[in-house]
Amino acid sequence: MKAMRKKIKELFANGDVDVVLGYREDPASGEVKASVFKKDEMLEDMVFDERCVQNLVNYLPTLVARYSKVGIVLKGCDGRSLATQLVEHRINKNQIVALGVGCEGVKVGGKDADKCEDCPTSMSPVTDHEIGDKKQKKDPVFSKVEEIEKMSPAERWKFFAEYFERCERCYACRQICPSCYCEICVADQQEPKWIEPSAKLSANTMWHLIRAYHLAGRCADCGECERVCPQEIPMRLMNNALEKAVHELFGVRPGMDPEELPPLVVLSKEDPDTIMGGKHE
Amino acid sequence: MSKWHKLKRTDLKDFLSRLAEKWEVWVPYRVDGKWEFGIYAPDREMDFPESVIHVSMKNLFFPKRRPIAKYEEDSKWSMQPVAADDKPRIVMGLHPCDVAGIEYMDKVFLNSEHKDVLYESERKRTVLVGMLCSEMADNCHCTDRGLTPDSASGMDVAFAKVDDYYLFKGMTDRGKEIMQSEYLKAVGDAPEKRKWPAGKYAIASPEEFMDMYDDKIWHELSDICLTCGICTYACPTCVCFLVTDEKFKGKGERVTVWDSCQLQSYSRMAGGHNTRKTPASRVRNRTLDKFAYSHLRYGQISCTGCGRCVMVCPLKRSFPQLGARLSERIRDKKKSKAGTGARSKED
Amino acid sequence: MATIELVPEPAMIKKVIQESRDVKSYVLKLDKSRKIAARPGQFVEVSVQGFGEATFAVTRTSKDGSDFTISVKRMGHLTKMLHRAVRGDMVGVRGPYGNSFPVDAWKGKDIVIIGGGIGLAPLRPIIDHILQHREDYGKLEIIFGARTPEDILYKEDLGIWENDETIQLHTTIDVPFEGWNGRVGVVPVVVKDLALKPDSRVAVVCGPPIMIKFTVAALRELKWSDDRIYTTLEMKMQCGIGQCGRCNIGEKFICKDGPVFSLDQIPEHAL
Repeated sequence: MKAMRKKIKELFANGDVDVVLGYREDPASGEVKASVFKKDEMLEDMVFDERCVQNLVNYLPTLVARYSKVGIVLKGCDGRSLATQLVEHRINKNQIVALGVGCEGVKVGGKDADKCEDCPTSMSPVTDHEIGDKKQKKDPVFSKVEEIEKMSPAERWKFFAEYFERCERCYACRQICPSCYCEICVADQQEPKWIEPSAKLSANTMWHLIRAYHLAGRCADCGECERVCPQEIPMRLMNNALEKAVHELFGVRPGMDPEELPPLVVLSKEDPDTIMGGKHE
Repeated sequence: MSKWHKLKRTDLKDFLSRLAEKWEVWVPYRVDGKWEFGIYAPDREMDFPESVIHVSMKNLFFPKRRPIAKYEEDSKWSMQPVAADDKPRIVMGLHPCDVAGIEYMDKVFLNSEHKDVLYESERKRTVLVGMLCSEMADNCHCTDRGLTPDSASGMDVAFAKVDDYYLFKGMTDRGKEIMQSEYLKAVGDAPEKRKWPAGKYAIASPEEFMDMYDDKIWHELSDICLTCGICTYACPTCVCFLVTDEKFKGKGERVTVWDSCQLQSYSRMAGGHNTRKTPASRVRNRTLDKFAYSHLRYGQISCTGCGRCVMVCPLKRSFPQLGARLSERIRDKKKSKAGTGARSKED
Repeated sequence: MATIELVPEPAMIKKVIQESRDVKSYVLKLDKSRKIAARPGQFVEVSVQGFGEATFAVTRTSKDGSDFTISVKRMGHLTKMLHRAVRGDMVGVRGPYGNSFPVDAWKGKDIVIIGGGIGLAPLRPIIDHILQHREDYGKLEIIFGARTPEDILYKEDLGIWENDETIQLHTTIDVPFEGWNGRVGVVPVVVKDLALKPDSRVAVVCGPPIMIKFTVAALRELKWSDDRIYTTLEMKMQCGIGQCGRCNIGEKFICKDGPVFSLDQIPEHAL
């Protein structure tokens, strides 16, 4: 923590950053929240520990529009998220100073966050400065997805329909997702109206399926959609099911390589599908 | 005035069951740890929570999805208005802040030449049996929004929880009909009045908020906000809606659906022009609507201090704190008169 | 049972007029023979069943009020559906709603009508009104700008206005176009070229946001005071009756307190 604060002070002093996105402990409530730090401002309240769950990458586009240089504190998963944004040219790396911090895992509601189970790296794949240890981890196991896959289609539908029924269509999942940035979201499109705006099972199901599919091969599993959902809909499960498919087919884990294009936007003769005359039997 | 009447807690079920013979009785139930209203069923466990009920009165009077007309899909025009519900109803256990929310909705939907007759029929069929608060929960701040937690204003019947009984009092003619119950016994003593804390989230005047429109603080206040719609859905006075047609198997419905000024789609016009494109402009719109526009339109600010917005915020942002912080900036600005002098803290 | 304000009443399309390449006008007659008494500047909500509704200015009312006209530019899903409608089709109508141009207060004054593209639609009823009560008003000057000759609306009316000696009409297109011998230049530039003096005049401006903004700037440069400049604001509207919330500018609802405002009634950011 000391090393991080020192580094950030240095960046401010050298004029390398205008603001830094990080985590702040509210002295009054003790809660940890995302915060935009300015030079000489409240750095003493800055924290980095297991309570720093939020992925801050989604705030970057708004901030780079207002400031020319933005620093950001990144866990491993957040860094993967940033990598997906860089490769999609949503953010210009020249405006970002990436502060990778070795992550020991985070906690949600007092328990180890589910997303940490299959985490491939403690350190952001994109960094300008690294603080702490870099630990690479094993291949993912997708244990929860496998449980779902064991269910019959009817059981699976029952499982998900119960959750979809509850969706309020507040779009917190979309709003916090760095990869959900369409100028006009499919849920808001009027022509054609793909998804009815009212919160009911049919329309909610459409919303959740389309949302998940649009993230296939792009989602770096930061898990924020699920964490912010006021109805606790297991959105990571849908993301992971597609992540697992992408991993099995292409051997790719999104965000691990900031140079690599998402597999579903690349047409390659090596693709495991006959459409390109590839190797698929 | 009529007297306070005592109802033994052990008689509550019988009392409610008797009411349910004539009325559709709505009482609070706890579902997945959250309080919401449901139709009274004797075998379902219910209670009257001391503090705010998660689901607001908006759901009961102006539901999230509300059909207003039906049509046959294969016709060019066959739209027929729906019939209004007029079954007599009792809503029991709402709090003074909920009453304030209803009073605000009345101003939006009834005080105009184009009143909403479906909302009106919901109001007409409902007797409000309100519960006086005995405590202020963590996020409660109604005392900073001009309300009193144990005020019976606007209720048809008021009641309070005291030890192992309830005290009931009819406030209106409609309410007195409910008081005609063998389970209620007239007593002399009224529930104790309390002194309530206030001042934590005090806000500036509507006129002062209006002067903040061009302030640069909106960017800072909206930096971290996701601009999702959940606070507006939870808010008892956020009644913005859209009108849309929905079809299913040849049958169509024209419905009103809650909308939210926090979402990008809200102000986007056909052709793409959007008058509230940035998160800052959307946060500003909601904040000023709560503390200023509402007052200029209807003479009542549209924040009741219920704290539901804090309870539902995915990022645990505090809207009352935002209001207080803005008010602090208004004071600072007044003091310095420099306009940009005050430096504000991050939320 | 009381009528539900948000549920439209049926209306029949009596006539369809192709005004330009992407604008069609519809003459509508209410099914229940209710007359529509729209004052200049008021609007209606028009529905296509199954596709929702949208806001349109009433651009003409027949003398006996038995039918009225809207002009529809193809923009989004609803206007696309309307463009497919033909004579005899049914649509839904609510309204008329909103305030109106204070044509009575303008009596005795010279009036300048400045319209850009479809923005001429809500202004045409003012012209109709003045022509019906010609002796009540002073000079009438009309500036109408279209992107290209193919975007010119109300050609029949333009012909009549052109030949009316009491009207000074300036039709302009944005950029040179083969075969066009008339005036070329965007509306704000034309306003400056004509050096319109405020004198005892009232100006009414309507068009795309950018055109309104620069036309207002041009008028202000020519020393017009804001209380003499009127506009009718367009914003996403839905209910038309000040309840659904989205068309607010500050505490004002465009649908209820407007859509007609003089510039001194609205904040600068509203333009």
